[in-house]
Amino acid sequence: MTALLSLTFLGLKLNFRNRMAILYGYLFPLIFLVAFWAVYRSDPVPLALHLGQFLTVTILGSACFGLPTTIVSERERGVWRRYRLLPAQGWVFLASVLLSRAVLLVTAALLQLALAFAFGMPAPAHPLGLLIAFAAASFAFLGFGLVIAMLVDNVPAVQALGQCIFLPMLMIGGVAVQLESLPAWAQHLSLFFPGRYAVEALQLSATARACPGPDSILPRCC
Amino acid sequence: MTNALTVTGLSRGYGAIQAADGIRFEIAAGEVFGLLGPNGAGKTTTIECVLGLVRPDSGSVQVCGIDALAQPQVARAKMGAVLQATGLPDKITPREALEVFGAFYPAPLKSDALLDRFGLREKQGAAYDTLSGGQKQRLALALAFVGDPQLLVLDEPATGLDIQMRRELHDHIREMKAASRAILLATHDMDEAAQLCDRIAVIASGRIVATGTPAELIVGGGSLEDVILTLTGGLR
Repeated sequence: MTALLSLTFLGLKLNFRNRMAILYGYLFPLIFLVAFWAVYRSDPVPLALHLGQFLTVTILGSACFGLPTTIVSERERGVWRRYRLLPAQGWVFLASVLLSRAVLLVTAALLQLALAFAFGMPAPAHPLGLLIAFAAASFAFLGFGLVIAMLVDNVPAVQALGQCIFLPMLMIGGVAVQLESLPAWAQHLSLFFPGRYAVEALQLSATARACPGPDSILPRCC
Repeated sequence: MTNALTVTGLSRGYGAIQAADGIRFEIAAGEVFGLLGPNGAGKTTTIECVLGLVRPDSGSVQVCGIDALAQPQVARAKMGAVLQATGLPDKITPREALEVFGAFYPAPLKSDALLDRFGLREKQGAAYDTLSGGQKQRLALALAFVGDPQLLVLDEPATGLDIQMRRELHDHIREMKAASRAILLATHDMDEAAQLCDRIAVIASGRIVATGTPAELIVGGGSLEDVILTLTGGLR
């Protein structure tokens, strides 16, 4: 346990020494938030109907780029080979990466929420539900990140594969563009993109209204 | 007394190539054992099998009496290693590396003592990517020592080191030997092997072709280099 905590804490410290990691991990989510606020500023209640979307964008960014880039770049430089010489099982190293990434995700989401409240967004209807939904979505998508890291050999390939997953979910998966705005074919296609389910779960916790598309797995309450 | 390392019938193939073929040797406590051979002879494969980085096709590896294939984590706690190609995160400092790596061992050596011993005190807070090649190698050595290992495994540790660093490395190896620790040293450097090793195994095409003390190997005259070249097919 000491080793796991030491490695997790080290992962956090190393992340905060990396300017690009801070840029992608914290600045980009805030930029997305401001973009949502600007696009939907005619909403009667600022950002309340888009909380699920901007939190899911943050999770997806970390899962598709942040996590696999860290793992693959370290693997390329022989760091993981060095870790393998240590007297610990592989899950310790993976768990430390996931834990430190989860902490980074939670802090990035808290920053987003703080800025959203500053813009006038009301408090979520079910904070505990939001926390559970956020945790579930985070670990599910971080699993995607691990798969990406396993499949690719180098950092440029992470970017390529990450974009292949990230962009479709944003554009036609109900994450960045609301399902109601999409054509019917895209709404049906979005059923195969897990991002929309994360958006729905988070949004339901935030406003007690899922506002899902026509094929939602959640009860329609809009 | 239990050997620090016992390797028996170790074989490992990669497709049609048999990188290790029935390797067998043992190392006693306080002994420096050298693995010598040309590139591609099977030294690194043997070392990777000993360290548990590669699973052998057959054979056994015992570290201080522990079956390293059945209990790799327990065996690794008894070993320290410097490999040819490993790295650390760019922004980690030597002190952080020593402290975090030490957390994996039951009785790690103090970071301060290792920083002094390996001449890293002044660089203890510097990022890894700002260290020179020699300083990185010193840190790699310090990390190999952090668990106070019974068996030190060094795969061509002097590669890229200047003369002073090389002498320091040799001093560290002698200190380990004096502390009754065993050392497995793979090297190309015949002088290094002749100076440091109590026994040497000459390895070629995945097989050990000769084992003995440096004096025994050169009993027929010539230098150790001549003997190695002859045994490995380098001189015809």
